Amino acid sequence: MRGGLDITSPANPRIKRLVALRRRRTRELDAVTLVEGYAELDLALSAGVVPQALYHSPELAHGDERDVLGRVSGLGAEVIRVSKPVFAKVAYRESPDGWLAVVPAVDTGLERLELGERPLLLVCEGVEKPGNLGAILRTADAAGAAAVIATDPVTDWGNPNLVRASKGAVFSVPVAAAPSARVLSWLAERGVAVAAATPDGDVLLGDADLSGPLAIAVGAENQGLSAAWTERADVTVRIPMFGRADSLNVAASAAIVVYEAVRQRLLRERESPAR
Amino acid sequence: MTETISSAANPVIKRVRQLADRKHRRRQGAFVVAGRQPVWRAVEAGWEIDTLIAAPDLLAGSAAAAMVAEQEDRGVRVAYVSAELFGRIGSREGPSGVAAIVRSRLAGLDELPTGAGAVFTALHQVGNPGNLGTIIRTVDATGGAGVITVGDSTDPFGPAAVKASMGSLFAVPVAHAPDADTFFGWAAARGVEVVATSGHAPTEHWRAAYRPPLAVLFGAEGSGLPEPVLRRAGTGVRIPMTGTAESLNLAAAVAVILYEVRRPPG
Repeated sequence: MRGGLDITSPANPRIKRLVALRRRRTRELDAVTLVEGYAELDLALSAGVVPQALYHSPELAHGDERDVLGRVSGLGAEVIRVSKPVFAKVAYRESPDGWLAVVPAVDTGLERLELGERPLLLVCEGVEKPGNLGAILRTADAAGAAAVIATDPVTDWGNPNLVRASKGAVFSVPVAAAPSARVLSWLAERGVAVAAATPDGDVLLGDADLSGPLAIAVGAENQGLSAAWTERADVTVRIPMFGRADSLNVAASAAIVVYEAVRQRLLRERESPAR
Repeated sequence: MTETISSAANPVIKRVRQLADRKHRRRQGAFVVAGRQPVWRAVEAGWEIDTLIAAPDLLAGSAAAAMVAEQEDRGVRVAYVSAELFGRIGSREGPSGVAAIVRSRLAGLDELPTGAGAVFTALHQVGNPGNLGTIIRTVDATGGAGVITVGDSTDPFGPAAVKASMGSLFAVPVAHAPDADTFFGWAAARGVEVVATSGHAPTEHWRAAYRPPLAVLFGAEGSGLPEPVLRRAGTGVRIPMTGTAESLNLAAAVAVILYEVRRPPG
């Protein structure tokens, strides 16, 4: 061992396995997700995630970030100190900060989701950009949504860039992934109405009643929502446009629609506190 | 006749690469935009095109090809490149076949239209270029009067910001105030009310009365607005959040507030 490091060789089998975890297939096989970065790790730990292992480069990390070491080993996770070159090999960021954790894969089963009395859910159809999905998860977190469901294609919720963009929200907001047909029947069985957000929606956003049990569906920017969603939706809503842009970014649209629903819910609660 | 560039060592291609760097953008007063719709919007809005870069093989017969030919007739310099080379300078989401080197144009604070209905979006020390671009796009969609970056900010002409703005950068005036003093001075002189956003403001954003001309001021993600800046604003509003504090992404927060500002009364 050099300087108290556990691994200094990039050829170490554990390092090779860690590098292989960049591939979705390998992550699925091992049922794990990667969390890189101090801030992301901090949020994941706060959301109750228990890492299996933590790879740490003391040369890269800031001294005031050491609190994480104690928190992680207190949870029973193995802490592996590696050299700077080894860390550079396992990191997927351009300028790594010396923290990378292997955590259990996020559960994405539809059936396990628990819906409260008047749930608010988000459905993302064909939204694949990690930055957009991450921002949508953060909106769902802020709004107290019951879940975010990805459909067609079934998103890799463990994508490291998505984990990063979500700032840990992927661990605090329940997520699921399933084909559209299944999601639609699952929602119908539970009495959850569907509001499809689409530029040619029938009802202006502010005029639609979004205060009941509701799933808000958004589609990818270029294709929008498929007919499966717009035709089976209980209401199709459009966000009023005042300017010249033909459309909003999907995460911005989702935030606007979700917050309209949040507003209606709060107003309804305040008007009839006894209910 | 025009010749097709296929060498990455060509000076135009080298310039495109250089302009990914803020230092070079500042020095040359230019930036790069890629994609048919964004380039078309730059041309339509009358931005000065330094050079158009077109891959004829990728554009064959398209409206974009006609646009390039028309610009060339008007005297705009056009560099024709091979599809292979364009693929290397274009974005990852598939090459569109047209890009442009455009002259940067920041609006001066004094040029901003502060008329009766004007709604500005001011961003204090915005650091993420993708967020800035998305915000410019949202401001365009909500008919906003402009974006003001306050203090140390990311460059609206950087590649990630330009890409995220989807061409809205050419329609929305973007001005820069070097510090909060300059920003508040401008607002006071023009009679623009400043509404600050903060996780601690007592008023929920849907309960505030928005009376344009106004500027909604947002802080950086994570840190928010510094206390001294917050105190100088006339009003403060808060987006209610049930999750982790500051969990909303900045561009999402801007979308939520701008939509609320635009909500018809009643």
